[in-house]
Amino acid sequence: MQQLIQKPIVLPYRYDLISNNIYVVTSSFGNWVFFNKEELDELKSNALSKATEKKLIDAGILLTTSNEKDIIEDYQSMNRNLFLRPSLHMFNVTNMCTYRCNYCHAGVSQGKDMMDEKTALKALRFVFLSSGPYATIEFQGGECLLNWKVVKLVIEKSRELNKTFGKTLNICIVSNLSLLDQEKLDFLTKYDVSICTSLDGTEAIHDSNRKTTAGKGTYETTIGKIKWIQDYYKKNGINKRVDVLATITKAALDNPKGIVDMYAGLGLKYVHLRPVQNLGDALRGWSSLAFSAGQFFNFWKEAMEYIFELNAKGIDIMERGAYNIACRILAKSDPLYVENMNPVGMGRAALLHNFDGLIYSSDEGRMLPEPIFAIGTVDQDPYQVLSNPDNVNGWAASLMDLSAYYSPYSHWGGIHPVHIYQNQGTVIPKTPLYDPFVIFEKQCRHLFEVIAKKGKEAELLKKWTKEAIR
Amino acid sequence: MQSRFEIENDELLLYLNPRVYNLERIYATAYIFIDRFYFIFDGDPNTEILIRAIPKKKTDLGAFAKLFFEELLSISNYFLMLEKNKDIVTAVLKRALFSITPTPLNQEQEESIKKLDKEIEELGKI
Repeated sequence: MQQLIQKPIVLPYRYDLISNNIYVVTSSFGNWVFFNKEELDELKSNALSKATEKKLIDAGILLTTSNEKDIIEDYQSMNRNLFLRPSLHMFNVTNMCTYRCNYCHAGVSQGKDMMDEKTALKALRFVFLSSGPYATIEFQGGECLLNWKVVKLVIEKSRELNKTFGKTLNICIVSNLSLLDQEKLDFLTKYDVSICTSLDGTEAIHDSNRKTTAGKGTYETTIGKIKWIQDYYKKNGINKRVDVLATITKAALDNPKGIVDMYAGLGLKYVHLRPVQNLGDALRGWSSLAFSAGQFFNFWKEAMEYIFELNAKGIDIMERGAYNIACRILAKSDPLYVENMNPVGMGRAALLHNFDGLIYSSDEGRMLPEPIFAIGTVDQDPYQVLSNPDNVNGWAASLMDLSAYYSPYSHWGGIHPVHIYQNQGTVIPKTPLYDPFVIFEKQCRHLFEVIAKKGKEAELLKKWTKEAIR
Repeated sequence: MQSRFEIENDELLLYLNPRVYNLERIYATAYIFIDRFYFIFDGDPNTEILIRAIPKKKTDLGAFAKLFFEELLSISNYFLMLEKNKDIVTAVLKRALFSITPTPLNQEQEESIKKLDKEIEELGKI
């Protein structure tokens, strides 16, 4: 391969003070190194000693003929999503639900629609023609099991089609589990379908957020069903786990340990502490659900410290948000999490097939009152839909170099144009005012503090990155 | 003119010499602090740029003025590096990004899609 460079070049970099006399320096390609003040001054004044120069070359911040190949390979590995065609295909098979959660992003209180079989098969056709060697079909809602006929059809047909396509095909249902019975569980297991549900924490927290249409708490049902599925897998020797997600509202902020204990007690391998979003039904009671970026970060930090305590006692659990960041900074791998992609994965790594045949560039896109993030229909050619300028402009607006050029952590994070639009009234981001990225920066800084201490916690974090989450 | 700052009625006035500081870099620097300040730009891009910075919360304006100039230097340097190394950075990115090409459908795959199309057509007749 022809060498690109004639003389060593310092790649554009940013830095941040992590702790006393420790700075993290990050390059525009996502590599990083810890420097002390003296070393940073050498870099800033372009007067590098041999030792500092070597540190920069080893880190991939000083580009030379010797590390050019490594820098390219690291970039490809950290940003694998850029080289995959749409891999996550969500099917919104109904906007009706058996629950009335107070933050429901899907806005099911107005729901009355079901995807029909014809639309479902057209969406499936789209999946197989647009995806690369990896594809995930994820059933969303509403409560997807309300449209079991279509869910079943898509699962059967996709496995059949994949006999000729040979993709690595994952199928997943996102369900509140209220309608899951033995027959459905047998079917899902037979077709190797994963199950994902929501558990917001302790009984009080969960029941204050997630209620039935009659206003009853759903904690007992959720816990009961999770344990039932886990027992079923265990008894039948099935190597699967139930994936469980937590949506964090104001009600949860005082009890990070309680939430972690709840997940650890169920034997779950990770907890994903995701801040509530102001979409759908959440808008109605937003002031009672919302919190500041600082409040969320403090909650998350306490949860992280507690998780490390549990890890040290041999309890195997990790936090998904931290895992996503650690994968990139420690393992130089891409966790393929849509919201942390740069540019965001909406409309390129992930698509939402709606019950009415519209294709949205993201799950969140269908949650707005107007279909401004609809990019095509299942009747169109996939490449026509994906190259639709409205789609491309949508995700291009999230390029971090355009709006977060100031941040040393922008290479590993992302911003979501739907959230930006919802919060700021335009897809052109005002990133310093965008709470999810403010939280992300604080999380990155915290993880670098952990790594810089070189203690037990840093070792544990490194160990997390060796685990595979889906 | 000389770049400097003044504090007046709980607002910060920044005077910047456009022969030293690039207007685009000044915009890029102010943008970083929009969570803390409202910025009003004025003056003449050929002679003197004036920024009125109105804090959203009570702030030490003198300390912020120094921070603004420090960040302006950092941002200017960052974009200078980006500009200076633009060609090589683009070349490295191109090499990283365009090394994978999609594969077309084979005959068997085309057949299975045709079969699915037929089933979709049949559903349309119901």
